[in-house]
Amino acid sequence: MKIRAIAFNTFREAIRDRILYLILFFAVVCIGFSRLLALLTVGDRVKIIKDVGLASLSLFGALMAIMIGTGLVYKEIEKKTIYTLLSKPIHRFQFLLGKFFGLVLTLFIMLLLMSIIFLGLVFFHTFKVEWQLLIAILFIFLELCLITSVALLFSCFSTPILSSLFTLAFYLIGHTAWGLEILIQKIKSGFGKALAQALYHFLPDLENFNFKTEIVHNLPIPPKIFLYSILYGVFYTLFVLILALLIFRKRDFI
Amino acid sequence: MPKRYSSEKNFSTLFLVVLLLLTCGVFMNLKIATDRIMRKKVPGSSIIYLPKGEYLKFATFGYSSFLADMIYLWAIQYYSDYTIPDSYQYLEHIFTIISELDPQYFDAYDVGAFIAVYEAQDLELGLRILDMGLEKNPQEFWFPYIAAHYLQFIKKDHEMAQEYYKKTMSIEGYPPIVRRLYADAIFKTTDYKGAWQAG
Repeated sequence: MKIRAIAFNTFREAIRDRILYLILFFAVVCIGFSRLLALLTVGDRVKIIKDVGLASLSLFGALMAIMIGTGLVYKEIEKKTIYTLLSKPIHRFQFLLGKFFGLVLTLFIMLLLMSIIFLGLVFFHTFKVEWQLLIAILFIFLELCLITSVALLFSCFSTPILSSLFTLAFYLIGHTAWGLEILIQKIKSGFGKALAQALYHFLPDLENFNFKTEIVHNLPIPPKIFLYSILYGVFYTLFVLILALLIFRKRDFI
Repeated sequence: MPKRYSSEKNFSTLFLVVLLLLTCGVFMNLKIATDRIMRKKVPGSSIIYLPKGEYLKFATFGYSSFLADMIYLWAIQYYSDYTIPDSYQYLEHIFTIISELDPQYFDAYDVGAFIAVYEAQDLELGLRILDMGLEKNPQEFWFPYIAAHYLQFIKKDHEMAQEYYKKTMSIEGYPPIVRRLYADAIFKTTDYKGAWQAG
């Protein structure tokens, strides 16, 4: 109940943020721009529209999560509202979870809006509703949930600018960590290899949520991977949230 | 701080740490499990639909050389994968993009031509890539020299090879062996007198 109240309050606060609408505007412009890019290409035009559209959803969604998520806890501390909040019978985990779900709800609404525009644009070109694109969008949403938890984690102990940089780094690492696999194959056995393997398994693999290429090309996807990727997202998010809670509990607000 | 509160806090911290380690173990195992599942990919699918380099340059915001490097690195990986069917279909498109993004990218022309000649078995394409390199880098003797080399030793087209050797010799800094190879190309067309004079 308390989590829900904090979540709705966070949602109300987030949707008043002008930066959210600025990012949304750019996302819509980018989705529209895919139509122009399609004209410049050699090959399948609808493919370009789908690629650019899905990339825009993912990229601008991540930007929203970073820009708003990194200020969530910090703002409460800066404005000293956290003192009033935590003096009430609210546990710190309730406060953090409320903040997290509030932003997740905001992102869901924003992603829904962008998806409607994107699917509309695809429909305008193919004259059919491509439901399989929703799978790619669902996994983009899961990725955004994870990024939100990371933004929240950094927001617990750092300034918004630093938190934004750290979360952005997390996002970039998440999308390039697969390169470690190639490195592991080339390193001889020893400490270096063991370290690379440990890093490879520990670092976030956001490519687990990336089904854009398969969906756009209509490639068969093993159903098992959906389940594993969802579980991976849930457990990684849980891990980051627990870490955030451990750090947040250490902070003294009394 | 009351003792009971302190011990409760310690217990909940311990519980959270255990939960943290558990979730870490679970997601690491899930990562291993997802890695085991083979996902179908279209290797290089994203690159073959890239617009022409001249348009792409606008979207690089001044990082065109960087993007050329990235595409070049990707191309090397792509053409090292022998499991991709018809992978040479887009060879010219890819190397044209690189040359438009970074016209002075020497290795891209050299390696592109090498892949075209030896891997794709398309000498004409290799020559087109080298011609592109020479057009954008008229000071580099290497491009006509290597083109002449391919023509002389692979296609055995000694007359065309002579033309490329002539182009090579018109550029400063060419190695002395070029003259001898040129003479050899003339010799192969049985013009003994001309070969003697050229060498």
